[in-house]
Amino acid sequence: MKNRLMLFFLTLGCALLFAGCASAPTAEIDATKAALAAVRTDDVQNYAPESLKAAEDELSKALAEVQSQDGKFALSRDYKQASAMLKSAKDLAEKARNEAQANKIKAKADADAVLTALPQIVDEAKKALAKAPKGKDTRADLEAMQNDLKTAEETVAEANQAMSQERYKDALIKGNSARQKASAVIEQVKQAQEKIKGRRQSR
Amino acid sequence: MAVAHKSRVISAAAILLAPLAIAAVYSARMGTAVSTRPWHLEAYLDSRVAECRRGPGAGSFDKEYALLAGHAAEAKRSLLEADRQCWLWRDYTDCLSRLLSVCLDAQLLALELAQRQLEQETKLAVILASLHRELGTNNRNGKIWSRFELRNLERTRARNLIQQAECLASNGEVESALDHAFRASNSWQRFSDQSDRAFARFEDGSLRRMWDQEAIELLHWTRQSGRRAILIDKLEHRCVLLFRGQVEKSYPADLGRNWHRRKTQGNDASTPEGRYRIRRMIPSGRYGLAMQLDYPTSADRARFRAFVREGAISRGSRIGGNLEIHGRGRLYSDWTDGCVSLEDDEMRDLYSRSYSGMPVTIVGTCRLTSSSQGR
Repeated sequence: MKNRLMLFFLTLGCALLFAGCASAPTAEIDATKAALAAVRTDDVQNYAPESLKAAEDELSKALAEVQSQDGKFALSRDYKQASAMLKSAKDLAEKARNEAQANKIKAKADADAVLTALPQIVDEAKKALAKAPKGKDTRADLEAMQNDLKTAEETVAEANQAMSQERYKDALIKGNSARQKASAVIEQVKQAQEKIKGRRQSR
Repeated sequence: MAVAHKSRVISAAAILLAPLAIAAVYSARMGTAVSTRPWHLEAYLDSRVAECRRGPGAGSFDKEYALLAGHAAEAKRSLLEADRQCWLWRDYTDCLSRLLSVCLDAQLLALELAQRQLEQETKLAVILASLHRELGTNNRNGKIWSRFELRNLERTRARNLIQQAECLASNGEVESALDHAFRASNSWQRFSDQSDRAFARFEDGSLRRMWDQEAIELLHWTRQSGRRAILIDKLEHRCVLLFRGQVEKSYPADLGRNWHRRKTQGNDASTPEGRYRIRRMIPSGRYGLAMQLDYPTSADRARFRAFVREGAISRGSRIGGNLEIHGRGRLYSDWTDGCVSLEDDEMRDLYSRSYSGMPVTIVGTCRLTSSSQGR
C-alpha cells in the first residue's frame, strides 16, 4: 500500500515536472520581436514596405503557432515549427532592412544622377533661348519659354533642398520635372530655328 | 484494534481525497483563467501601434499616439508580471482584457488616420480637378485667352506644381501632393488676380459706352456714305467689315502680345484704340497683303504727350507707328507688336473690299461685334 502510494505521488510529481518543461521558446520570441521593432523605421517603411509586411506576417503566423501549441496538453506540445517560423521572421526582418538600405542608396543615386546633370541642361536651355530667333512672330513664344525656364530653375532649387533633407523620391520627381521643362525649351528653340531655315530655303 | 483500523482507514481516505480536494480548489480558482499567453495579440498590438505612428497624417495625432503607446506599454508590463508568476496559477485574463482594450484604441486611431488620408485624397482630387478645368479652358469668361495669360509666370508655375502633385500622388505621397496642389492653387489665384486687374478696363461702364458710341457712329457713316468701313473689337478678336449700315463680314483676328493694355508708346506690343484711316494699301509686304493705318493721329499724339507729362512713360519714349492690318495670322494667338493680323485667305478677301482712306475704328469691345459673330 505504501509502495503504491509512493508510486502514485512519484508519477504525479514527474507529470508536473514534464508539464513545466514543454514551454514556449520565449527567448526566440523576444529576439524576433526586438529584430522586427528595430526595422520598423521610416526608411524601411518608405523603401521596403512589402518586405517589412512579409516579416510582420511571418511573426504573426509564428506566434499564432506558439499560442496554438500553448493550448495543447503539456506532453503533446511541440514548438519546433514555431521556432522555425520565428527564425524565418527574423531573417525576413533582416532582409527588409538590407533591401531598404539598398533601395535608399539606389533612390539617392538616381536623384543624384538627375540633379547632377540638371545645371548643364538648364545652362543649355538658357544658351538656346539666347540664340532663339527673335522676330515679331516668336517674341510671345520666347516670353513663354523664359517663364518655363524660370519655373525649371525654381524646381531645381526645390529638388536640391529635398535632396539635402534625404527626401530622395521628392528630389527625383522635381529633378525630372525640371529636366523635362528645360529639354522642352531646347526642343522648341530647335524647332523654331528649323522652321525659319525652311522658310528661308523656300524663298 | 478497531480504533487503530478506523484511524488507518480515515488516514488513507484523507490521503486519497486530499489531491482531489486540491484539484477541486485549483479547478474552481483557475477554471476561468486564461493560462495561454496571448502572443499573437501582443504582436498584433505591436504592429497596429507601429502603423499608427507612421501612417499618413500621423504627425497630427501625436497626442493620441503618445497616449496609445503609454497604454500599450502598461498592457505589456502586465504581461511580463503574469509571466513571472508560477505556471500553476498563472492567469493572463487581466492582461488579455488590457491588450484587447489597447488593440481597440489602436484600431480606432488607425481608422481616424485612414479617415484623414481619405479626406486628404479627396481634397487633392477636388483641387486638381478644379485646376485642370481652369487650365483646360481656352477662354476666359467666354473671351479668348491673351498670350499675356498663356505665357504668364504664375500660370506656368501652377501647371508645373500640378504636374508634380500628380507624380507625388501616384507615388503615394499624399501629404506632399496636397501641399503642391495648394501651392498650385495659390499660383492660379495670383494669376487670376493679375488677369482680372489687366482686364478690368473692359468692364468699365463709361469706356464701354464710349466704344459702343464709336461703333454706332461708324455704322451710320457706312449707311450715309454707302461705303465700307472696318471695326476692330479687341476683346472679341474680330475684324468686322461694315457696309450700308450692316455687318457685311466678320474675321477672327490676332492682335499685339499686350493687346489688353491701353497703348501708351511704340514698343509696348499693344494694339491702339481710336479712329483711323487706311493710309496705304500694300500688295506685298513682309506678312503678305497689308493695309497701313494713319497711327499716330493728333488724338494719339495728345494722349502720348499727356502720358509723358504725367510720368506714366519716360521722356525718351517714342510714340511708334507703322500700324497695319496684315496677313500671316492664326499661326499663333496675339503675336504682333500691335498690328492686327488675319489669316492670308481672309486678309485677301478684306483687302479686295478695302480702299485707301477707308475708316478703321478700333475699340476695346462693343455690342455690335458680339452680335455679329459667326458671319
